[in-house]
Amino acid sequence: MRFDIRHVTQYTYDEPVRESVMELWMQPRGGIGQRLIDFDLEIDPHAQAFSYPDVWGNTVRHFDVPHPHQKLTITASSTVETAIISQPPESLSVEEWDRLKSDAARAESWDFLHPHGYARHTEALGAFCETHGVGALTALDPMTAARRLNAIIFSALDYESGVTAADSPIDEALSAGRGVCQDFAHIMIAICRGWGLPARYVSGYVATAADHADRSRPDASHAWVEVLLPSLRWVGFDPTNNVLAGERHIVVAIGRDYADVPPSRGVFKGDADSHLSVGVSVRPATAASDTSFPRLGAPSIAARRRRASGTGQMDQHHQQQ
Amino acid sequence: MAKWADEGPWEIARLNAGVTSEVRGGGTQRSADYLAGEAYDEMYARDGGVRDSHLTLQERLESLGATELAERQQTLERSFLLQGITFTVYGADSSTEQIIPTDLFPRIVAANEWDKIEKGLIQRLRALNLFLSDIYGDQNILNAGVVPRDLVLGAPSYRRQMRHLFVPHQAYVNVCGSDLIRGPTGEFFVLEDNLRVPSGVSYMLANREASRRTFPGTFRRAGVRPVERYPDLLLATLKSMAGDWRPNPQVVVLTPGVYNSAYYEHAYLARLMGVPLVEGRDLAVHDDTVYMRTTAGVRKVDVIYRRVDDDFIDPLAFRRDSSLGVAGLFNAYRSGNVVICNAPGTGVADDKAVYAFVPAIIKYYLSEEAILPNVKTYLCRLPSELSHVLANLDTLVVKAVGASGGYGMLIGPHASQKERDAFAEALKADPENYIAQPTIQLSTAPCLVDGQIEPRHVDLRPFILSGDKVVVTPGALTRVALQRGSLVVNSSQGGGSKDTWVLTDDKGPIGEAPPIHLNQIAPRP
Amino acid sequence: MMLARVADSLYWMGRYVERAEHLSRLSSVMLNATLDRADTAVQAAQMARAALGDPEPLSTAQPIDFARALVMDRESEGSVVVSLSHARENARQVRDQITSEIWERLNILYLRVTSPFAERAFDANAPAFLAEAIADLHLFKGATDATMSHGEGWRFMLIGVHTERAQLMGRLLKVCFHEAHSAIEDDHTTLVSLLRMACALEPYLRAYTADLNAASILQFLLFDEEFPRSIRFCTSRIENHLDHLTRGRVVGKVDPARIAGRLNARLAYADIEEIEASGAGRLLDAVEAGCSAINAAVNETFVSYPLELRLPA
Repeated sequence: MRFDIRHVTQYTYDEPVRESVMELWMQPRGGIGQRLIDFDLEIDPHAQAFSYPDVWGNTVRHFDVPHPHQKLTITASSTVETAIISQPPESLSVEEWDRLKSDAARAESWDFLHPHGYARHTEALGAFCETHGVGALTALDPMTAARRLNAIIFSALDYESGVTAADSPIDEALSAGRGVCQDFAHIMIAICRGWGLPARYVSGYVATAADHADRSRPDASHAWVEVLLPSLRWVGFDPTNNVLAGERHIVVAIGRDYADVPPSRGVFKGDADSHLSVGVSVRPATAASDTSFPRLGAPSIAARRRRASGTGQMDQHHQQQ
Repeated sequence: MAKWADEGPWEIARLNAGVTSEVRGGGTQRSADYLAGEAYDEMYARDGGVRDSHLTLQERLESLGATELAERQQTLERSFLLQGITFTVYGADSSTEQIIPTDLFPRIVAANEWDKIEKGLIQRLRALNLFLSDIYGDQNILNAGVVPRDLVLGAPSYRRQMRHLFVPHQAYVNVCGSDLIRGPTGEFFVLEDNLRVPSGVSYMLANREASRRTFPGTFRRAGVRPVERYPDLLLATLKSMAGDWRPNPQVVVLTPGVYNSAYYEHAYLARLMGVPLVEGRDLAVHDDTVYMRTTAGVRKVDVIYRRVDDDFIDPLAFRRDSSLGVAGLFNAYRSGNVVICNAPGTGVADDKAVYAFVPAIIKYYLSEEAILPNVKTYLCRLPSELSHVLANLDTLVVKAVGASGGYGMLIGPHASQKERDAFAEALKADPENYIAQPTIQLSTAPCLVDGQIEPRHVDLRPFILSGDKVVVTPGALTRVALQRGSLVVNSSQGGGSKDTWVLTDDKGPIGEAPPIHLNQIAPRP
Repeated sequence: MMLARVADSLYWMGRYVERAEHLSRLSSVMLNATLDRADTAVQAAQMARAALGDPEPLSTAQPIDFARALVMDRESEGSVVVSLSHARENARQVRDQITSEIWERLNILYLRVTSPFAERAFDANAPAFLAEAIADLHLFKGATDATMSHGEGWRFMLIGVHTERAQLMGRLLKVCFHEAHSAIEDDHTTLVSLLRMACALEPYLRAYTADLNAASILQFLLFDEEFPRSIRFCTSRIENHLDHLTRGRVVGKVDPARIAGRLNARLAYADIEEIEASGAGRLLDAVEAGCSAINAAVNETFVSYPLELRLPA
């Protein structure tokens, strides 16, 4: 399927700020099952965008705005074609676990086998696993185990935005019993890695459709998980929607956790609070491409203020829902 | 009043130095129990004879009385204080500036000993640079299983951002300060490599200035190799990192600021190199280029000798809460528009656990045996070594992998049973975080303590530069454990320092230098 | 070319050194006056105090306490010790830019006035203590002149010195000559105190002989072109240094050299008769405002200019 995606990010500051420097993980990846046809970045106030490939092969765009501004709008437009190359099987053999133990497999996926950042074991996660019989899943083959885990997270945790923030550890979602895709992905990653199953964080978009029982919001960026099964390579699981990642999932970036691949993050100089609004639209591409702007979500306070002798540097990033 | 004006600074010097300068009397003979220790002494052989390298010094000591020595010691301390060669100690509600206590006797290294040290350090740094280039490249050494993958990839100091970046001359570590110690047999060992932002080189230079003034005649007769070229060698090293395509690169020294304990050194090096000393707030990154704010607008920066830890150089790439660095610096570095020296991510190679593998690293890349041996190191992450460590806590030194400056450390033989028990618990709880080494009696050197000459334990920190070539400055910072019997030489833990004389040859004292006649000085053209 | 922050630190080092010297001199003159008569001492103290912006009247017992606070109080922004600490802090910021001779001069003085023995020394013989401090500051300035390149950094420092000096002298004169025919006119001792506070007694005598009168003193301290503490001298130095610094450079809306030039011209063409008739208040106000404007313009032009205006296109 071919999609047109517009992702609008708007920072507003209650006082003028200077020297904003930002990095964006917004350019969809090319690769197996996905082709990037077009990508365009508009920055207002105008800035020259540069790019580099990060260590996981994502294309990072970055730019700076030196002069004073009170508003920064980033519009990322892309056209992506996705295809299902092959439908993964329902299950694999239990021997798949042994293949995961090979030195080569462990070496290749070292970063995705070890706890990192938000994706780490906690006491609350242990309790969650106990309650939902997660431990027993390792007796199954890894494909089935991951499918079950996907379903457990889907049913055990409600989807609700506003409960957790972009920098919430998984314990907040676990104790509240609710959260957003970012939390669900981190929880699933932490459990998989605990099993010795390489798992990575995927930032992207999902084209929600009325005929699917999707929980994720159609107007936000999305996040899910990819798990390495040696005989199938990386397989995507979307615990937010209890599905495998498929034609409707558009991969933007992969990393160890959210902090590796936030859609946008940056710092600026100035003594101001910043407010962030994000709007995303994912539409099947039609002959007459729809160029209407996605609606911006209600402003959410995205950054905490830090003061340092009159000029603070602020960290700003946004949550994936 | 005139009396006060003269005496004021002396009083201050004494007070601030925290060193008693009282003269106890009893002459300058070494005290009767001088050789009581098991340790190798730098000056006196076991039979009490003076080592050849120290004959010149011995001669001088015999001719100086206690009062004269005490006076010279005071002059020395005073000059450090006046020059502002101080570090800042922060208390609960006030901060004081202190000088690092400096001993007036030089520590002397014979030429043949230095020869081996120099070769060993060059070999070691070449191997460590190759190691860094590999682990941030194809990771052959990890694939070959020579160094455990977990040790490298799991280290917080391993910077994934550095993966596959081009580093000129593969010189990741441009400035290295390795800590050497001399064991009871007289053999030198490497105790630690400092590959991040090693400090102390200003003391090497300042101590030299001072000891030349304290013992001018002895200095001349002994035949001491010069250290004064360090600043221009450093500048040449830094410039060589900019590559040929930037003929006259703008070099700067990046300091965290006046409140940093090593600020004096940062300013000193900037001054002697003649380059700007900048703070993060003087820099700005625009379109992947680093600029500094000057009175005449902004000016492009090509090479940054940073004295700020990795974590703090760029809030965008590393620690978000840092205001010491400049946002976007790493992207400018990645794009090749600026060089950061030392490269980010070098800390992974001076990790105390990786240290244990340095001999293997040397062998792997250079097919050579290590010229300077390591101290035997037990990795507590290995169960068999952990049990050995736990069973022998009373003879071992245990160190936390991530800590430095003498903190997070247990010196078994000097600790109480209670301290050892507490440390054993910490070890069992987090074995990966610890290594252990046998307690080595550091060598001793004569120091002036309370008017008497007494042995104190010393180590040796030479400085190695690497850019288009590797250079070792023939000198070092010798750190002194001022407490009798103490093995801790860190300045943050009550250590002091002394000058280090590397001799030009081993023939003992050389004759009086021929007098210089005026007409021998280069005539005016 | 030098770092903006460094220029700023040199400028402020100059200001604080000048402030420390001025405060030391005010204290010293005040204490000297106590040797004469109690009422002159109080009057001198009053003058000093007013010149520092504190009009509270003093009793006879207070000059020594006032002087001690003015010199030794570590809590007060306006003391000699604190000014010296600031000067040294700024010098430390630019340690790589100034010579060791300059640094050591300032450092010795700082260590002396902050040593645990300083209070004792001050109480034992305050005039000698202050004379030492002033002499040390002169040595500092001498070392600056003799060992530092007379380039950009040196100019920033001297702009700081002269701006501070013009302001402090302006305030001192304002206390005495704000209105025409002020009360100090006929008091010989007070006139001597004023000249001493301005470090101007001997140069004045050389220029005007021992004929002490308010009009001549005002004229000397305002307009003399050769006396280094006259306001005219200061503004002409500032103008000269700023001329050099802005030559061939992009300056924004506020050109500090122009502001300094205007102030200097105003002093050059001031109408003496008018001042004699109606007091120096307006002119001194202009000096004060001019110095503030120069301070702001130097900062905006050389130090905290907006980055985006100076980036390459």
